[in-house]
Amino acid sequence: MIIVRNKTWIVTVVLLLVALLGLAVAGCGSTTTTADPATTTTGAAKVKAGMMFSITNPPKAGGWDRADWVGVQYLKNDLGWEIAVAEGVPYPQTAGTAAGYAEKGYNPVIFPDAGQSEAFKSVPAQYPKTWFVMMSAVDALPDAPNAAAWVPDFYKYGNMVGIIAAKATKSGKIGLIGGVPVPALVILFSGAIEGAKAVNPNVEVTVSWVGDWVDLPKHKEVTNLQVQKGVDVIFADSGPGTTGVFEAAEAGNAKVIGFAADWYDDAPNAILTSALIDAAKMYKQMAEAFSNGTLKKQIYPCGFDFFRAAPFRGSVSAEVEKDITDTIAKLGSGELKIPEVTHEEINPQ
Amino acid sequence: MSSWIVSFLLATMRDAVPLIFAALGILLAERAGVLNIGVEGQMLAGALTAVVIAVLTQNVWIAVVAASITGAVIGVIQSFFTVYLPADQIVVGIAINGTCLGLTSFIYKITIDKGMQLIAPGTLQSIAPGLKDVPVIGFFASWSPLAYIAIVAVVLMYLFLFRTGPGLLLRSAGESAHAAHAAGLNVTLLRTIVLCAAGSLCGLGGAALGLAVVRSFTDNLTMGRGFIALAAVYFARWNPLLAFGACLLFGAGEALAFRAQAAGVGLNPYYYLMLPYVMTLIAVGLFGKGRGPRDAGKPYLKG
Amino acid sequence: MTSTAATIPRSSLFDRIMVVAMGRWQPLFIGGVTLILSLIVMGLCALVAGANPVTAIVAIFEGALKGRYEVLATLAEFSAISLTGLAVLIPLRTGFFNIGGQGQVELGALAAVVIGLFVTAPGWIVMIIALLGSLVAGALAAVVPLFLRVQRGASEVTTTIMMNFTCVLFMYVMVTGPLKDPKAFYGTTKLVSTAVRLPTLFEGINAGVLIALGVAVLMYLVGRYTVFGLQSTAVGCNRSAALAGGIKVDRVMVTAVLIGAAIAGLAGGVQILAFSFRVAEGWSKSWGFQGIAVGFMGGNPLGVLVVAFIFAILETGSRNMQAMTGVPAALVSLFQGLPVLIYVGLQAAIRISRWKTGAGRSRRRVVVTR
Repeated sequence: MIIVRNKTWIVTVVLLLVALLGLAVAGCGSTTTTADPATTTTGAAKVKAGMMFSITNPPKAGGWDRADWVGVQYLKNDLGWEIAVAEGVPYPQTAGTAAGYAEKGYNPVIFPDAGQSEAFKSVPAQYPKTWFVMMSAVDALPDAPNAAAWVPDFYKYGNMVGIIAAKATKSGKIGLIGGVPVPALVILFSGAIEGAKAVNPNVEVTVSWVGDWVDLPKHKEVTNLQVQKGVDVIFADSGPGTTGVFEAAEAGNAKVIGFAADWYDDAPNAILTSALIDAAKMYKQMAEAFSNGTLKKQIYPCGFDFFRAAPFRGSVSAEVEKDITDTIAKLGSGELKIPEVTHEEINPQ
Repeated sequence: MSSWIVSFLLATMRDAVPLIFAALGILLAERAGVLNIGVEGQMLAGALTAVVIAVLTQNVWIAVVAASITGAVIGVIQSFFTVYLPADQIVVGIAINGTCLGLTSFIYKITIDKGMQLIAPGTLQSIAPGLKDVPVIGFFASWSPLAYIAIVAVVLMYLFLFRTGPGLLLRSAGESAHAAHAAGLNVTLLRTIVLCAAGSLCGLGGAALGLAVVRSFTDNLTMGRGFIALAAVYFARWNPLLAFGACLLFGAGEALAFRAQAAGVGLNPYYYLMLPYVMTLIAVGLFGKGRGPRDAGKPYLKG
Repeated sequence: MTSTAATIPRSSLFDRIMVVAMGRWQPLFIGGVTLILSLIVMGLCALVAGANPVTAIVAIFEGALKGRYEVLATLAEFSAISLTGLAVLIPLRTGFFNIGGQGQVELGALAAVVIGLFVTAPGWIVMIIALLGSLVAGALAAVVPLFLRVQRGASEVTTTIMMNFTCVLFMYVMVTGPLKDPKAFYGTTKLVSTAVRLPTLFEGINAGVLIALGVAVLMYLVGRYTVFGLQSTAVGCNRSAALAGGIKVDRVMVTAVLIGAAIAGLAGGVQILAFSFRVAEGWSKSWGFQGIAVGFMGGNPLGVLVVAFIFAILETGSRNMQAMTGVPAALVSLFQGLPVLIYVGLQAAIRISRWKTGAGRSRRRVVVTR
């Protein structure tokens, strides 16, 4: 029997062992995870991409996130990319997360949210060996050469939304609801106002900002206020909070145009249609450029060929539906010209 | 009445109902001497249970009962830690909040990954939606059934605490646990039962949030409403009737904050959201501590 | 007389371990068990979420400790959580529950940003003033609850929670209003200039981490070797006895609370000057609330450092786990709540079992009667 006089050193030894164990686990982990580049069937090194969403549950969250998620699935399943997705990253912490990915050797680092433009502009310069791509609207690229952006023409998209809303409304009052007033959204709403006015000069447009992407009761309240003013068609670009918009719209017999993805299954009674954005196509293009090495520092515009309206499923009469589809076609072909006006007055900043 | 005021009052009532239930729960617990800081967690758990069960059974009342049961279960867990062991009530409460936030978000994600559309039937949104536009009755018909239940609960709570024997015993356990024990009361058992009931009330508040205010669930749906209910209880000096008024007041503050922001007028909306907390601080400063339960928060150790 | 213990039982290895574990090193032992149990629960959740539990747990440690960048990120969290833990611990010694840490952090951060942006002087002077300003701002945040407790006898549990939200919301008001960066579309201030930021020292470790360590050591020394420290302990143990012994109880408590709140403010200031450089909607994590658990579990300033480090590991590691294994981000919150429950439960269970058996001492004595 060993008589231990000084108990302290037992504990110190135990502590050291625990610490070593922890570090060993961390160190050994590399041999069991797929951190080493694996080869795909084509023989190219496996691509490790990192991206971060500002909300949680991207596959079921807001319209934009769902649309992007289709693109993410394409990268994962069709191309075999390894994608690490961080969820629920608030805007001020995006830069840190992006830098973290770059540090760990992820390439490219993808920003799916226009609200992340701050991080997109500040991080690339620090990691010249990593490509940073913004898959949403941004007003300018950062100074560094390793950044590119796929920018949907949100103004044209807004035109389309405005046309649908103005043609479908019976009360002559339409509403636009946005989550956070990101610049892309201001452009989108400006396009919607102009598009609506182009087909119905007397239409009344109400713009409301909720202030965040997630607070359900708040979204419902804001929508209520619009519905009480007589608005009967609403376009909502407000992330996961859109559920609140649906509730209020349904209660008030108003219809909602969904953003970017097909929202029909979420609220069959409230949805008029959804203005779809083919984000998956954007991701396809980005992946191709990256893999072929043709990715350049530039803004890749995504024009009207990325937009279309989802099936109406009988939410409006057949003739109204035809009218809308025809007008959208005219917009796409250029026959219908809508002036480009940015309505800064709707920006609460 | 102008429609702005009607809509404002309706919003006030709607926002206040979850607060009222939660405040009753907190109040009951504190009167027995236990701090129920875990109210946020209980509300979240209640809200998630209510929405999920409502979607699965398409019956909101079963969902409401289920939410109460969930809240009660958490109350029992909380009582295990704070009454039986006992550990510090504040730390346990905050830990419960964090744990429930994590668990509810986790379960929420799993359910929607499995394809469930978490949109509950709207039965609890108002008593008689068809009567909406009738002049006076329409206003009261637009209240949720839970609002009426809440009002009844407030009255019952007041009567129970101040006009019945068991209520007196309960309050005595909060004033001085040792004296109550000396008088033959099993304080541990009492506090456990009380925490269970408080938990179910807070779970009910969560159900009100998830079924009456909105019809769905999202991560952190409560967003601090549990603490607003806590403020209401202190503001009202542990009196159920005053707490009801405080909840209405704070509900009005929330409704006002939305409207101010939407209309782009008035103060920065965050000032309105500060209202409950600042008012409580002022009330405590002006009127002192009030005759609240003296032993609230202290773990009770027999012997 | 019959002897009731004729033979001295040989103490087994288990006995020896338990004596050590339940003695001075009890917090560490309980902490270890807590960590293991928490990891098991995490693994189970990962399993439910469809991920490999071992990979998930490994991802936690990797995300926190593997790689220079990861360790630095963990240290950044550590510097915040250890200071907020101290902010709870020091007032707690005198019997005051300081739950307003989050609000004190935000106010301290706000002060640091305002000073950093608007005071013109050589960089390092502004930095010092900003740190001092964050100390003052944090202390200010505790004035109202203190006043209400001393003058009105109001329980600080309520008032500090109320003050919490008031301060956070006030910060939001500032950040969406007067201090807002006009070029931003959400509430945020401009970045504090590089001249004002805390310098990075060796190996990328920021001075902020050293500040946190220094404050903890300082508080440990104060607690054990100064009159004030001993008075605090006395006041906390038995208020009336301390009063009878001539200690100015109120003054000691007030000082302790102000010091604690100032430290929380410093936590905010350090985060700003070392890592975040601005305040915004969504800039902070829940350091204040984590500090409550850390302060309780730590027991003394050095213990706070250990527990804070573990919390920091869980924080950075779980975010990595979410990103790497697809386990939902929600588990991050679970990680903040569950270990606390387990730890507090174990601690209380042990205390009660010892109390019930009447064994006030932790060392077993072998009694031999002849």
